[in-house]
Amino acid sequence: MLFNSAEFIFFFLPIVISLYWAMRLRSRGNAAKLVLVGSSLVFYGWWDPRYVPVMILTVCVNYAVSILIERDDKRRMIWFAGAIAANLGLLSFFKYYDFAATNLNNHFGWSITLHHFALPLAISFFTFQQIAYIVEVYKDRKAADSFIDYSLFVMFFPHLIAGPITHHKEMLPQFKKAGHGALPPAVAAAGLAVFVIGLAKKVVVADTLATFADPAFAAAGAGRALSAASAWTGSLAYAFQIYFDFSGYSDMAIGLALLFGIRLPVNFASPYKATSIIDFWRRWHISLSRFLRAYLYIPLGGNRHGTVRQYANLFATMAIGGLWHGAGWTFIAWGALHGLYLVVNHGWRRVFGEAHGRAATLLGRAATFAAVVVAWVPFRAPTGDAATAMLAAMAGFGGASASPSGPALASIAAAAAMAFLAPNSLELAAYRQRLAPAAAEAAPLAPCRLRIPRPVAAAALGAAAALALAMLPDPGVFLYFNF
Amino acid sequence: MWRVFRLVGIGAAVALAALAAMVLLPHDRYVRWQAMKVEAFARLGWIYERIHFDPTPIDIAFIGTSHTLNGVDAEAFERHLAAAGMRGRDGACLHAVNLAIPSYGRNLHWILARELLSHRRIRTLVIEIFENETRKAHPLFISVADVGDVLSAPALINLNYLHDLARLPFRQLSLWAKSQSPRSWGLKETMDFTDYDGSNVDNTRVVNVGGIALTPVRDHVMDPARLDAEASALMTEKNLHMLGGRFHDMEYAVPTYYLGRILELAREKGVEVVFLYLPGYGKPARPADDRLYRGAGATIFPDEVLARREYWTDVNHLNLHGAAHLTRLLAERWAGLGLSGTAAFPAGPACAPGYSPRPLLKAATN
Repeated sequence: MLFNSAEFIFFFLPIVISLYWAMRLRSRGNAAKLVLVGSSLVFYGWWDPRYVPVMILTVCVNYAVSILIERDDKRRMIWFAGAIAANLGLLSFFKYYDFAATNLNNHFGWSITLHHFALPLAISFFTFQQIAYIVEVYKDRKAADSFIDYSLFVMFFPHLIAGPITHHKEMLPQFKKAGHGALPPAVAAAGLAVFVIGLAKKVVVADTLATFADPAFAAAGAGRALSAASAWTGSLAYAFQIYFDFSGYSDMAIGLALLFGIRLPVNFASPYKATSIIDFWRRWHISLSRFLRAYLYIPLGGNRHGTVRQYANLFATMAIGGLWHGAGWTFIAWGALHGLYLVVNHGWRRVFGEAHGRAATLLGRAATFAAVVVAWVPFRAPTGDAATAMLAAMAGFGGASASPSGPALASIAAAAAMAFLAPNSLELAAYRQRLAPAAAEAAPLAPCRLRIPRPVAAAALGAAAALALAMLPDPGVFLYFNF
Repeated sequence: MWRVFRLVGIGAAVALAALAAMVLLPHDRYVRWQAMKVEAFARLGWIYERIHFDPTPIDIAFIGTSHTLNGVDAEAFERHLAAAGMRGRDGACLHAVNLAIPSYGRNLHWILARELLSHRRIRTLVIEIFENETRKAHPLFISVADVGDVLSAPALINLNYLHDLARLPFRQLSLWAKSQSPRSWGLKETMDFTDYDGSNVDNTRVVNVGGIALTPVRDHVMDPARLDAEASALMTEKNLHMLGGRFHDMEYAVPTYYLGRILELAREKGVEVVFLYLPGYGKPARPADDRLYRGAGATIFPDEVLARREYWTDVNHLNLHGAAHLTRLLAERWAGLGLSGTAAFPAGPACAPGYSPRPLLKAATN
């Protein structure tokens, strides 16, 4: 089920909210949480119910193993290793088996049978989340207190499909407290406001930009020569499409969670305002960066073994991060490119130090954005050849010149203005990036901090909702649902 | 708490008002008919141009689905009629045009018929019929219908009613934006005969729109065994009354309503109606319920074409050989229909064909 679908907004969500709040207001905490678990399974199974058992099994097994790691002193190492292997095995089986087999068959002439399994939705997200949990339980010898809370930590539908990759230490205390008493009106109002903003970003902005990006990449995929203008228009349209798609999804996830009194970690913080690639990765898919840093980069040695090793670790971490997004060489190329960017960025800082001042900021922002746009090309392109053709066209080695369409340029310009100049929705809602879980619901949240009267803000949100609802009947799939 | 409700109320009221305002936005009708640019559906733009801008007469118009689109070559039909000496009572040449659009749905046929009959004087309207009226509404109805058509469409049992209603605000907004600068969206502001598909577009050999060939040459002959098997499977699955026979009228209310409106308008305008029975291969020899057509016009049953396996490119569509035979057969039968607007004269030269079709078709690129 998509957040931006009529069945979700007009059917699923009102029912779940009504049931949850009915239980919550009667302080039936466990019943309220069970409503969330049940609705999360319905949400997950809406597209393809075949993988609901896989989801349930993985949650049950990981929880059981975490209890064993906590309590079985003698074999905790075995349980730990087994759980990590099982999680990675599951992910590899569904996501990477065919990719690996195809490459082995092509390079060595083998004939390994391909399975063509449909990828269980969100497997990369819930697997990484549970791996992190198992690692932390092994370190701390402390498993989740409650199976229901653990289930929600993994399956809570606002973050289930496309993140953020939450950490159990920030989520379990919230789920433990969930389901009791009235929710502060400001929290619910902020949730609704952030959800509407996210919906508009996705449906109005990202889906519109997709209509300009898709034809360019399809043309490159079909082997047609693109002009430099068309290639740049397609690439820029995609750069802003994925920005507003992911930003919109992240806002909607945070807004939805707030409607249930839960605060999700911030996953997206105006990344195109980044002044360097290092800064970019502190703002784009923050929860994935956090995971890769904690569970890949640091275990590989981080920066503890000299500069060369640090750069190698950075590069490897990012290439693997690329592979996490999809089983294909284009994703690995995207990750490797970002790895290279990070190495250059760290090297630059080491040699020249950090630049300051307005000019340096502007220059840094422009260079970072250009590098990111170039990297999106292999990420979006259907094949390596298409990516090469697109990049060649962007460099001026494409077909005859053709001027891009006015609506495409206007849409890109409007999206750029919003991405570079406007405050993001979480800034508007005063949503704090970091917050002690216990203080979650008590912290003040205003639906809009702009210096305009609240009724005007409500009216503006109403207008945004109208635009989004008008475009709702033909929803586009969130790009991050594919990962 | 109440303050929050008040703010939500303001937001909801503004949202509803904005949606209503979008529906009221004006736009250019020519832009509306061109705006659907997906594959063969893009011929809606050509249909509008043929009706409104091309002065070549339209005496006979075909309305139907892809069966008619792929099955009738209107220009060849004109030539066969001329060769057989069939002309209007006034001796004028008979000009035919095929306005069929892929996919089922009488509601779109109503929109097409109204557009045609309201703006042109035609003699005969040829309406495609099947073994039963389709219960489906046409997916393109929302693309070209007026706002009033969408709002006043019969809701029971119209599977697309909410679908169309929900799309209306954005359609209006989008058409308003496109009407401000059609060229920016790849649309024509005014008629340009140098960028026109011609007075007749033949889709029996190659399905094409705007100079783009959407299919290869349609000479494929479906394997006879597969053709029989698929036709038999379709007949087995056929369910004429999903709600049971007692609810027949309710189940077929939407197509009955729109066909009724077409026939009523044709009567009003003095246009004769001919039904062309053109179902898929292996379908019953006659419609299951012909009450709708009885007394409204003659029906042509091209049994000898429908029965020949080598004429089918798939179980629903004739190939170019089947289409050529059907087109010839239609002209042969025309004299026997007793149409008041048509008379036999000594065989003469073909009519002036109007604007020529595009000389070269480019292959579709994706």
